[in-house]
Amino acid sequence: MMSLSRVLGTTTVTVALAVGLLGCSSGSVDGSTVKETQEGLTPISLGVFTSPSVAVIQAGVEQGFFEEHGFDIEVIQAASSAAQLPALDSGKIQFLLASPVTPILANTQGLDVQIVAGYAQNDPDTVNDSTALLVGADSPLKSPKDLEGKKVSINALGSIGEIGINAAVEADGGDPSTIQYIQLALGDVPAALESGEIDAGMTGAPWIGQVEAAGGSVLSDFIQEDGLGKNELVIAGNGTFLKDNPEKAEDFIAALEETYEYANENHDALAAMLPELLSIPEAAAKNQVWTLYSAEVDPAVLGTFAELMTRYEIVSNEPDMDAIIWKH
Amino acid sequence: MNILKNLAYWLGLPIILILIWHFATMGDISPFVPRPLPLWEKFVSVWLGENLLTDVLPSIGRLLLALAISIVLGVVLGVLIGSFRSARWFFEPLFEFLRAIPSTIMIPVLLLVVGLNDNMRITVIVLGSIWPVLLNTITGVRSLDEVLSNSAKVYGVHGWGRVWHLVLPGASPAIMAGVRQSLAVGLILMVVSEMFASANGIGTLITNFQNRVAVPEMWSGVLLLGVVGVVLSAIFALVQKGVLKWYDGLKAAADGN
Repeated sequence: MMSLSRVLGTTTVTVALAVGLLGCSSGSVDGSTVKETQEGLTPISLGVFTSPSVAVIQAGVEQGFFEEHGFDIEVIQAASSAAQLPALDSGKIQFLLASPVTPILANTQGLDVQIVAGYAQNDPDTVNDSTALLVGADSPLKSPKDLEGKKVSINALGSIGEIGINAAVEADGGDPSTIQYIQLALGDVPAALESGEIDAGMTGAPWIGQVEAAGGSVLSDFIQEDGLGKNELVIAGNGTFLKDNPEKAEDFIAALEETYEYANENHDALAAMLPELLSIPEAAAKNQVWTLYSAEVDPAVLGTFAELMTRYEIVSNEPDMDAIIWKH
Repeated sequence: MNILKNLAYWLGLPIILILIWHFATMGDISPFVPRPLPLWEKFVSVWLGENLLTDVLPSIGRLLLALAISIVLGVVLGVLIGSFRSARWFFEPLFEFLRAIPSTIMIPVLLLVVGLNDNMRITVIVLGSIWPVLLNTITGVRSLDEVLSNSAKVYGVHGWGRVWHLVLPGASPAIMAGVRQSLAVGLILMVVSEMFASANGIGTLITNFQNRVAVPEMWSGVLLLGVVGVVLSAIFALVQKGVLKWYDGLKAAADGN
């Protein structure tokens, strides 16, 4: 009897799960049908992941840039952009802030997702504005090729960290296939470096400062060194929506451009929003180093992304960049 | 014939459900919905190849080791604490408090204290799965049959003999119920502990597939976890049958009266 009830229990769960999933897939909103609100605004959703960049979009919303271009925008926050891909694919959200890795991956997996605009550009003159690879105090590692056979932490496996560090090591004459990558949140890196659990770790501001204060140093600003910095983050769009509403997509990009312009010139206003948006202390918010924001999409940089992703087998078939970059 | 009939009962519903699943997911639907055939192909190619040695076995090894530690520690502490009324009163509120803390929330702390290694992952599993065994053992020891307990005293059964021949068998139904719960808790914690700061394991691979938008591969990992759960509970059922033979016999006899 016990085994029968177990089987029944398991199958009930399976049925519930299957029904739920089917419900999701059939009940989802088609990306092409977007109805206007009473004020004549087009409702639009943008997925973002938790980072200081949230403040940039929020500032644009508060300044009314999106409303001026006819949008009633909803900003949806999630922990990672990969987690929001199903929503982008089904058309529940029309745009998504992501590393180029995410839309390129999605495309090779058969999702209709395109890169429509740039977002963050890594400032070549500052390390602190983005992520870098750091080592602890008294580390014997001096350059990327010393990472051979070492334990290196990145924030997500198969991400810009993995391809970026691989490329930096190879450019330095090392063999990246011997590196042991482990997934570790950016904020856990200072402690792990100090205890010697990892030989090097990828982290960002404000933790870069924390590692440096403890005697550590930057081993490689790999995103910059690999030439990936110009399109470090991009805005991806739902392919069906873009095909059916090219003018609306243009309007959206125009609103983004105004937002970026405002953000690049008003760092203090952005910093003032951080404590409430991300619950970080005000002192830390004031010290936030802002990167450059730009809507420019550089096909050469995105091509480098695709090439590295193919070389390090993040994707199994070569990405078709012509299909991935949206044509105005 | 009987075996065939039982087999049909066992597999009938799953087969029907898989067929429904197969036909319902045919045609043009979201790539995020799992389909039975690709899922099975990935299950074979992903988990039964090289990854069996590099990820599946390390995961299972950590799980079994952690469960063994939980059971031994839980039973030993449980017998000690359960045997003395004052110890019970002293420790029980603390245990109820500690068991309510999800051990996953301790991962960042354990990363610092234990470090970024297998010991950390095993600690996470033990911190979660020890409580059902420990608390059930205490209850089992406390509710020993009084007549048996007093008879043992009269016959001069003390010390180890008492623990081995009276306390442990008497508490075993409760202990086994606790072990059953910790299997489920342990499996969950095995996966979660590998999603943070891990270089191998089933949980790490599933997270990796999720990051890489490898949807069928990810679902095949979910299937693997289900299989591991079923195998664990089958082994448990066998062990329980042996350990509680006397108890099942006693119950059957009582029901017969």
